[in-house]
Amino acid sequence: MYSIQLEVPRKYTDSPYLKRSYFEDMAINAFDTPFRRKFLVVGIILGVLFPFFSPPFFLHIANLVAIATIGALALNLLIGNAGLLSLGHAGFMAAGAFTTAIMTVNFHMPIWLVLPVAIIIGGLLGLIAGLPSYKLKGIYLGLSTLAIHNIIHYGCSEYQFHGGFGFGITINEPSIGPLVLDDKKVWYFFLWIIAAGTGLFITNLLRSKPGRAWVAIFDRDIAAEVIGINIGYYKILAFVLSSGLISMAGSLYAYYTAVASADEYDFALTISYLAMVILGGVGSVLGSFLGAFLITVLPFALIYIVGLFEISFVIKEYFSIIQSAVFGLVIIIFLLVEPLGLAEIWRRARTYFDLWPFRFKPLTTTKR
Amino acid sequence: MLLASIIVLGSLYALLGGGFVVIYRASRVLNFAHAEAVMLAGYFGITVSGLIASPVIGLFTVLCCSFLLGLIIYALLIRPLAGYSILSTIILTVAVGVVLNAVIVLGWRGSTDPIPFGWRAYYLFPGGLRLSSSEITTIAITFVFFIVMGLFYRYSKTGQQMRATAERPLLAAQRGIKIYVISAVAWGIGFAAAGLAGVLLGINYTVSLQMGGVAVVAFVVALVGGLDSLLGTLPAAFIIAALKQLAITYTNPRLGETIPFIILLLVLMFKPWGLLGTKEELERV
Amino acid sequence: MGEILEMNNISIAFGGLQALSNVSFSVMKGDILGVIGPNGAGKTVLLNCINGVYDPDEGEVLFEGRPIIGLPRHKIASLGIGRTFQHSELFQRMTVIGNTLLGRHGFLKTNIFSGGLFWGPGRREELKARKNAEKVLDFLDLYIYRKERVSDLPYGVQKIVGLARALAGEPTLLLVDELGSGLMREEKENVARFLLRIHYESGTTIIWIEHDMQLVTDICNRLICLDFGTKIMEGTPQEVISDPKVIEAYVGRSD
Repeated sequence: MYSIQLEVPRKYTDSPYLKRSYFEDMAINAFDTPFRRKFLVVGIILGVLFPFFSPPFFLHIANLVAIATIGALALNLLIGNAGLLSLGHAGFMAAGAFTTAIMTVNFHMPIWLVLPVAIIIGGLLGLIAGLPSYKLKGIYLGLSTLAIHNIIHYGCSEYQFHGGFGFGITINEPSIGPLVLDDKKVWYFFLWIIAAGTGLFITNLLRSKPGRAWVAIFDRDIAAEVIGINIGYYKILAFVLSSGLISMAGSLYAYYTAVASADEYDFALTISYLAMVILGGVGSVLGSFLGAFLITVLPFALIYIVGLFEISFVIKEYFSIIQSAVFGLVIIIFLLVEPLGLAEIWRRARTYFDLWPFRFKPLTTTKR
Repeated sequence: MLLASIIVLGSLYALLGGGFVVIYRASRVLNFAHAEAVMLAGYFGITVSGLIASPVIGLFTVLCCSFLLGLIIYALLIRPLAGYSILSTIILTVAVGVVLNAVIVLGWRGSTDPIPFGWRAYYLFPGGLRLSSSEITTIAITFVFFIVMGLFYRYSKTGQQMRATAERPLLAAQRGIKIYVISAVAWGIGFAAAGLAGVLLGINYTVSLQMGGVAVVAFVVALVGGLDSLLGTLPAAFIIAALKQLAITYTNPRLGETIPFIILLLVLMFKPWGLLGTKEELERV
Repeated sequence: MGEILEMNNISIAFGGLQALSNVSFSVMKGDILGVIGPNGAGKTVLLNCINGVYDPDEGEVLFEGRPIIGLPRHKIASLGIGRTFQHSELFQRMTVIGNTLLGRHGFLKTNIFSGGLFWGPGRREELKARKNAEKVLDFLDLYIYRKERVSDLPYGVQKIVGLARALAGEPTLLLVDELGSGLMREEKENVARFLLRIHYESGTTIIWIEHDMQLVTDICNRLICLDFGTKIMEGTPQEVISDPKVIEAYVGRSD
């Protein structure tokens, strides 16, 4: 008879994958293990150094990606987590942009006042858009949001047209105290801090009561109601929060590009954000970022490729249409092939390496 | 003059909404590509009328091709997503619409042409109503369409199967109805109706890239009339057409464009199942 | 007077089908009431009428003396009525712990601001809820499945998760819909054990729809039997199962 004695070294019992309290268990995926924390620190350092070493053109793209991330996060919350179809995205962004325009041009309000007001106005419009969701679902909801978008768009175009603003209302650079936001580098930090904050905010929401309630409503709303969730309240809450954030993104965009023009906020913009959500992964915070990144970069990449090859003149002429078409194709392909988007592909790759050489995680057996 | 334009616009809206309802009733999918399908048919009609002399054969060709387009889109794109949430399918149709839009722009370079009709005459009706031949044809065709579809749904075997599939697909399938074939046919008919509307729009006005905007009203019309009621699109279409034309004549044109959406929002808030729709429809979504 | 639930003359019809006609009974606090009857007798419809999933056409439902017909569904749940469903109706995209935490929804006061910030009150509430949910999981021996997605779990376990979700809401009246169907013998024994413990430890009143006669006669202290939407018998388990009308409903007459 052999008796085997194992002295498990202390460092293995202190495995970072072993969570020792509920508090640790609830931690956000990105920071829960030391390895990930180190990775994150490296990432942050790279991110901070990026603007000082990159050509201004890429910096500009990075800023656009930040704004797109905020919009995508908000839209993903509505469509991916709460399951409420909204086609009114561009309308809410326009609302934010035009609120900004009106407040800065007519009343000379500073940015730290304009942003909250934009959020509130976006939220109010979201309330109106969300009221139908009390009784309606899916298709009907999509149509009502489309109607809201058209009405907002109309309002904004009328204001622009009758106010004699021609192609757009120009907005001066905002300043927070002594800091003037006119340099792209300053914008970079400002925008990415807001984007990261929004991401954190939404991640926190998803791991607490409202987030769970939204997922429950998406999955089985009658059961959710019977459990005690007030589905009408939460649906409208999702709309209000989402459109408030989208409006903030619109406001930031207007500040950044220094102009508010109704033509920019058309249905094609909604399509591009839908593409971000679907490409990135519905319901996933990481997915919103990935989708926003790729879809924002895509047109620039297309232009670059087209420039390289001197492809047909036609393509250059109708570029925006082709861009929309490419987004449409991206949506179609992803819906047919990988409906859960890039985030799912990332998860699968991670699980593959996690479990290797096994392929499936064995279901824990019962204690019999 | 105003009355004439209302009647014609109303007929066109009814046709647009009707095609939409056909697709919705069969597969519960809101075909957001409907507007682009109308445009595509319109442009295709221009091409066809350049090649084929007889307007009747030309129209028939466009209808057949639209029907085929509907079948193909269903088979390739909608059918694979059959079990998934309806959200994905709707977003899919939005994407399809965008792609079709690009095809149209690339194919026809945004030209603006009317479809030649050939029979130009004006007729006087009692009450001072003056309608051109194209307008009369439009109204007549719309009525024929609705009558044919009504009879089809009520009396023909395929029509009844279509209604059965719309109500309870599982039961229909177990009864031996080939639900995927029926749905494909429904999509074909819906697209053919869109094609019809596109051609008629091209005859009465012109074929242009703005046609999509007109066709978006199809959604509103279908909804106000009741998404599951083909008959409901008729009153809805005329009411919306009337309000829109009144707005355009007495206030500004852009408001006229927005009026359908305001009506849509009001209807959705107070009577979401539309004029002649059924309440159960809402639960089913 | 000790009655926790009273149903008086409940009738409801769907289209042409009369699902329930004139059903009346009352449940005392601390009862374990079994509801039996052949398939299609209207048992689930009855529970749905209590829960607010359906509004009966006629009749009234009194919970602790107060009428509850017409109240919004989520309010009925917050009154202390818990429910499991025949097909568990779990939230497939979430984990077991997620589903259970949802049961505690009514006890949480987090709004989007404290939830979004997740520091201070948000976090404290979440931890408290987590502790309570874990207690429920521990009670039902589900803690091994804590992080599994419910769609990956075996059928029997899913049903218990449904029970966990209902229990997390600390109900005073628990409506159980066919918890034993489709389970193996050991799993059924577990279920019986759990329900008895729940009843003993928290005094929860239980209304239990069930097909397994042995389970029902052993555990319940009162039975009612439905057939074609009407109550055909009410009484102690022994009385009900030996009643000729009940036997006829199940087995048919031997003419």
